[in-house]
Amino acid sequence: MPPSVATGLSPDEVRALYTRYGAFLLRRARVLLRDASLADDALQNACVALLRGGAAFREAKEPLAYLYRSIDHAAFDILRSRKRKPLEGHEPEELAGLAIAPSLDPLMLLATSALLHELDDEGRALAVMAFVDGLDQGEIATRLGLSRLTVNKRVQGLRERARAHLPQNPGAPP
Amino acid sequence: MSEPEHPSALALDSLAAGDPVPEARAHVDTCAACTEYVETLRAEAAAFANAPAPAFLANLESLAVEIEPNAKTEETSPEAPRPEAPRAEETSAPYSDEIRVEEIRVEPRGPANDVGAEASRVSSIADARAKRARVFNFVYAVIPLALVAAAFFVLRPSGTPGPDGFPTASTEATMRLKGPPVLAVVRERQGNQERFTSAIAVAPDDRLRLELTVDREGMYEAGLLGEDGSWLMLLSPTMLTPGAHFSEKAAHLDDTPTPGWLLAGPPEDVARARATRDFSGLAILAVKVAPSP
Repeated sequence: MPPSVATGLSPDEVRALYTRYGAFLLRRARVLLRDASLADDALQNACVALLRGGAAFREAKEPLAYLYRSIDHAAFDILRSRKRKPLEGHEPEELAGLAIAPSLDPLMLLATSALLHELDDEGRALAVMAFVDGLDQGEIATRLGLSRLTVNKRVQGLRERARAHLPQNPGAPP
Repeated sequence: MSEPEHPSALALDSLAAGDPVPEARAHVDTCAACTEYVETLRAEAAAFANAPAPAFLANLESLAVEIEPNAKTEETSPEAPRPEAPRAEETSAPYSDEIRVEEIRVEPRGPANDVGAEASRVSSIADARAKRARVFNFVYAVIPLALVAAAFFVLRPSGTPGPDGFPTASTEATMRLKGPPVLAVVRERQGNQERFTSAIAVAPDDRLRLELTVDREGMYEAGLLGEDGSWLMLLSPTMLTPGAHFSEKAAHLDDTPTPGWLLAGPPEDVARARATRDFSGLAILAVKVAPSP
């Protein structure tokens, strides 16, 4: 029996999910890290993490959400190790031309990717769910095990902090 | 603004990936903007799937052998799987965010990688080659180093200061235990550190770091629950392997610390405890407030 079967996915399973979901994971990593090379690293690290401890993916009710969490952790690990701060108010090539879900505010998405650098893990998870996943506060509260009031307060705080990273654009929406 | 009418980005992404999302599908059928977004993602996914696979995918069997010592700790129970993502490198590297595979990478980023970063990943053969070289180094150089580093920290003698001044995992804590997780806390007060395994008295300006010993791999979360319902997360939901682990954060108490409990266990049990004060299945330590020394 392959050694990774007990707690992780098999190599073939990882390959299959890479083929099916890889584009989504890489895209997300690029949003979070603003760097294609680092995004590649994050995707690779996420695959390794799934190989060693991703068996729960088989039973995940929301497969992509599970994988997004995995790539988020990989990206957060890289963010923690980064000394260089992303350019503020600057839309990197990695985000240019990126399709943005209609429910998202592109400027807030851009600001969030800059803000992540200065948040702790919980703040990052909240910011990603609110401004990258576009989840409403009720969903965030459920997923993080927080009260809706707490989520509301923290999201408001994150929104204010994110505004500081918005590009200097007089036409930006409030 | 019509924002609230659209499904979340996560729902649309899931739909584009082929996951079942009935609500989002119903909306997309009637929304041009969402249809365009989903179709764009599907096109990107198709292009990605047809692009040359990176080398590390071909080497996964080798990688699985490399990580076998970590994976082969104990057969996990077939209990309900937790839909939480695994941490990339949460092993037994306590107290230090420095001990991560990503941070002890031995290969500097070369100009070739920067050039590759500017090109499309799907079409860039040069980038794929650079990536292949980096992956090779990752598998054969970094993983063994990470395992050595992890073993070093686990086997260090009790009381040895870690990188941030707290002690590292004690040999006592590395014993394999059956049953619920075992919780201890290291309190730093005015430069002095003490380890507690039952109730702990805290005072303003104390720093607390949790030490969690688990006997089975799984998702764990830990934090400080105040009697007033406040919650300070010290270990976000993380996949832990059997052994001793330290919280990723230390609690630095303010001028008015709140009595409560230090909790650790599966995230769903922690969530239940926070909502109902039902602490079953959790490791807990009572936190009392003492006058400032």
